Amino acid sequence: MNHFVELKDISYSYTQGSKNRVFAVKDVNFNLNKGEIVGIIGHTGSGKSTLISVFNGLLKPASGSVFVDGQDIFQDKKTLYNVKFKVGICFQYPEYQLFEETVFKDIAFGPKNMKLTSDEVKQRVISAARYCDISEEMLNKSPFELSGGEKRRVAVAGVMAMNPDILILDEPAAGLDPAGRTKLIGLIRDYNRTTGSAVIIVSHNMEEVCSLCERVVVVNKSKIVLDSALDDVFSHSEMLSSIGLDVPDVTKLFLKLKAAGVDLPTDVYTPEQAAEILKPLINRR
Amino acid sequence: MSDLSNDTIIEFENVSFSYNSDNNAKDNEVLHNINLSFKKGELVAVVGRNGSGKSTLAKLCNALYEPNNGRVIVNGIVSGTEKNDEEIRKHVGMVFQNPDNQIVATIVEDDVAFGPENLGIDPLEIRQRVDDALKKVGMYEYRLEQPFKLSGGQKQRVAIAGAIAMRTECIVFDEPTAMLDPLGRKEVLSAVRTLVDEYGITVILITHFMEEAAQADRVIVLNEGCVILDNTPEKVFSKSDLLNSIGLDIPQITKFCALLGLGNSVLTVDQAYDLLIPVLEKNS
Repeated sequence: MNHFVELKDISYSYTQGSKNRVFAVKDVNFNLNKGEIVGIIGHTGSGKSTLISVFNGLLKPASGSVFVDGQDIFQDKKTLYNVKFKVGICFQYPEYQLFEETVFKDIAFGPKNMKLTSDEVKQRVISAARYCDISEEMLNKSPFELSGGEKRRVAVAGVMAMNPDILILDEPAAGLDPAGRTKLIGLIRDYNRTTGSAVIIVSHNMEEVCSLCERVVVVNKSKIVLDSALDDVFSHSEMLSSIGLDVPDVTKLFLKLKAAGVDLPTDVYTPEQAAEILKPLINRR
Repeated sequence: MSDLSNDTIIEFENVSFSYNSDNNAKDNEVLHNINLSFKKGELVAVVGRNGSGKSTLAKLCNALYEPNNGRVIVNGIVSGTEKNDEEIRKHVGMVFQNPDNQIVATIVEDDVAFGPENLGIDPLEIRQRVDDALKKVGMYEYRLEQPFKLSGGQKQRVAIAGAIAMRTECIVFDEPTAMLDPLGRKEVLSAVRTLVDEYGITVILITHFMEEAAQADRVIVLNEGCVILDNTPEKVFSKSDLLNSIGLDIPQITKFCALLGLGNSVLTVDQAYDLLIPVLEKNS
């Protein structure tokens, strides 16, 4: 069975052709199916952003191949152009990229470039606005009148309006307050469930990834070092913490207690789970 | 000079602020009647939702904004006139969220020297201040690097050095770690802690991360332009219901310990560990 996206033995270097070539991504294999919701986590410089830029052909790997919907995306110019609509990427701090006079026009920019009729464009904008909880009143405002959290949602809506089969969001919640974060995460989850589009979230924040994703991919030093179901990720807590990922504080506590000889699992990441496990151990005096 | 006790560095007296000053309607107000005083050498965290008035408060601290009503007094100087504002900015520096928006030079040490140069300070003195400031934030070895080659956490530390080189007694940080990864956050926070503990600089830290606020000496919670809590982190984070009701979290560890019945003022992994180890070992 073919996957919707297949990356085969991908390597990419920003210093192509120079003597001491450094690879940002090295020998990566990755598959993705429609409807999945995947978190990619790794610290700065691990290769996360390079990896997602390969997904829709923004970067051409030095070696390896990228198949989207059964086609090699680099086979010809037309395929390479069209893949941009199938795989929508929303980069970090996208609110700085808003440029139109009104929120409506900004969200319409993507679908317009897909040569849709103006009715279709309007439909797209309205449904994307709905997914991102953007009111009709807001659609007529200038993007510059909005708060940071609202701008962020407008930028995300702009990518959703292209109806991509895969929506990739790079640090979607960075810089938002806790309530804004929770709201955006909820909207993304609903979008995934309603449309069946695959969603990839790139993040530094383990708690965010855990609250949203079913599958977690860990990137370290240009390679995928873990690709597993959410429930399984924290059984690798020691490894995660050794490569400098910020595991949740309760996970840190359990690792520390375990190191002190207390027999505890380390795949714990919420305060509720953690309290549940420790309660019987404490009450037994 | 005012009659403030001399351990106060910044004082807010009945301060209100609105971005729309021609239209004096109360509903445009971002801050309502704020009374606060910041003591020398404190690390104070300010938390609150987006739009609660945190950044406005920060910008009032170094006279980037003037209050519509009330007074902001820094080391006895009242903000509001050009001369006073200039003086205040020598006492209070600011570091913003985005490291890329506040670096002006092409070499690290030139960037740090930018502030003192504008004060017309003697070049030999500037040299000394720059070296000293870079050492304080652990960036001395990078003094000849180009800023764009640095990581986010390193750039933020260069920005902090720029403020230190001005010999500011107080630095206001407006979400300095929001754009950084966990490692960068750690670097910047430990630089901030050093400023307070070793050099006696007053720090006002605006943040969305409750784990960061938990490391402060004092936490101020803003909601809809009002101060609703102002206390030690232990006391503030024990009010989890109130915080949740205004859209703020409490640190994970605090929540966990409360669930276990270990009290509601545990803030760090280490504190929780110290509490748990004796009760757990008894069982084994």
